Amino acid sequence: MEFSKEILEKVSRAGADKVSAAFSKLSKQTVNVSVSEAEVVSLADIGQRIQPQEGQSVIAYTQMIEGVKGASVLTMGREQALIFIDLINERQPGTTGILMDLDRSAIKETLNILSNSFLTALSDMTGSNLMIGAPHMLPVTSLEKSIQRALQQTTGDAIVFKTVLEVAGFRITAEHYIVFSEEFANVIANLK
Amino acid sequence: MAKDSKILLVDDSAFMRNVLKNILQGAGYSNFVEAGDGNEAVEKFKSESPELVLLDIIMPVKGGVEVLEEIGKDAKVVVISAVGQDAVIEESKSKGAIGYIVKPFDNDQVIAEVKKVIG
Repeated sequence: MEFSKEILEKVSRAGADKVSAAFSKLSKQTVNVSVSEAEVVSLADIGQRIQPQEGQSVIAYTQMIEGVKGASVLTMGREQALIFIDLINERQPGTTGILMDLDRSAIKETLNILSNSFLTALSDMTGSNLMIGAPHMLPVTSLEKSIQRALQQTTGDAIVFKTVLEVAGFRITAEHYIVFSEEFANVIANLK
Repeated sequence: MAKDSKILLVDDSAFMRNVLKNILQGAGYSNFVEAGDGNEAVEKFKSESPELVLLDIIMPVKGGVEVLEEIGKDAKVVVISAVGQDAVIEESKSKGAIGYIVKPFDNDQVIAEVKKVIG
């Protein structure tokens, strides 16, 4: 399916603005968006495209439950996630050494907030109701299959919105992805 | 009396329940009950009779809008959710929510909404 590059970029920019503002408020730091992009990706390549760069990473995942089939993913290197946890808890970075249940809860909540920030921007632009479910943590090996399950397809294309967030002072890089099925065409048909 | 008022904190995120509790404790409130999903929220509302419910929308088992359908007429509910879409805010208010705060929030917003309801 063909998607207008201009429209995808418009959605991507609006979503990234909201996502970075939310991440900044949570971390209480200045956040830069180093990447904000949208592309149509073959589902066969989706795992590779979203797979975290760092060996040991923390992955939070949720899927769409209303509006359009899709999923949302937040990935952070393990060490960076530990610093992020300290920042959102207003503790000295380096305090947290192991991710405990409450810390994992904080990362899932962060994904919840980032995803909804993006979806609110998209909803404002299209008038669509777009809802995600409750987030959970995911091992990297389950990422591809989980996304395919959320999209209810293993072949064809997906639309991937990627936002890379950087907290410069603390060398934290977080990658946020929203993946939609081709039904996304119906959502942006109402673009204001 | 107002600072002793019982507040039911409903959020599937233990982290978020902790954040809310810390904010409100800092403002002098001390009486909290917690629920981690919608079913537990309805049960705790009935058994604990809180003066105020702070309610999340996206939760497993039963979401916040469904909780409002069950207790919205009887409870004083302020929704605190990451969902910022107008349709959900309007639906929540139509089902009885008297306030709606979108996450991420400022601490002062939470305290102001709570003060508005229970002083």
